[in-house]
Amino acid sequence: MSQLVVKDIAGIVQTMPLVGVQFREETSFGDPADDNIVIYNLEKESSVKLNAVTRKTGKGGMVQLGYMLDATLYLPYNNSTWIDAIPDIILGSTDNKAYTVVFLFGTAEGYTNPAVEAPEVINSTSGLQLHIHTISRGLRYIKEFESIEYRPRAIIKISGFIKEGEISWN
Amino acid sequence: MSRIALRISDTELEGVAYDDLATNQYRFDCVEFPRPIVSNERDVGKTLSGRAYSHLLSRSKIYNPVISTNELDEMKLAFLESYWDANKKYIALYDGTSWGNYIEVITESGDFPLSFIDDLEDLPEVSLKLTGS
Repeated sequence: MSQLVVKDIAGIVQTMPLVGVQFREETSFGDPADDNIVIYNLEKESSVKLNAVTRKTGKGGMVQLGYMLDATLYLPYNNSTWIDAIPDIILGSTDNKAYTVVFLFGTAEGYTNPAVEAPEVINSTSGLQLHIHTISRGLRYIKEFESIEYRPRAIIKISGFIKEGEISWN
Repeated sequence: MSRIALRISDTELEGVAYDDLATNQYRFDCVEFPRPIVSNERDVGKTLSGRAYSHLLSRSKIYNPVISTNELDEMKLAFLESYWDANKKYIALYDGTSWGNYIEVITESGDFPLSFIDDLEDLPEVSLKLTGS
């Protein structure tokens, strides 16, 4: 008989804010010619949510068909060069392509080649990556802009249907 | 959910016993599979002498499996389209412990019964109406 009991908090519940996002072209991972975009220092209002898409069964229960991704990323980079360029690069590179989107939590770093060191993270106890493999190319990207307090900033919203087999945690 | 197996054959099957290794066969867990409906056609009337009659002309069962997004990918959708077109098609039912025999079924003519949940392309659903014995 095998048994699983999870009760200890110490070392299992980690502090890992959403710190970065990576967009990696899916066609041939590791090929230097593939697009690879890594954005760090996402602002604290940034969030990612995978809402279950369900359907009622004939027996009255619910079956999960997949997830509806709802991610909002607030980008702090707002000089005249980057405030529009970064969203345009993301939207232009991902349009109608198969991409792996990786949300970076805590101390997790995006894959870079050649290697580029990630910024230091001081408020995290661990790191985690959420990989979304957009084989179905169903993700849609929207860019927005807003001014808050003393500065403007860009916002990237990502939405779309994700199948169960298209997400993985590392 | 109810589990079924759908099988296509170019010729009539020699045996009706379920074959796990059969080619041109896919298994599906249906989100809906209500109890099969018994249907019959009768010639009902009254003779000139006043006696009533009811002659059984045909008897069949109607199976209505609904296969949703969680079970569908490109290969399975292509198989179901081939199933819709096939001349010889069969269904086998799983009762929770074992598979029943293959039942030969026919489908109606017309469009392949594909729909999309909430009109989303990524949420296809196939609702079949299969008539068999």
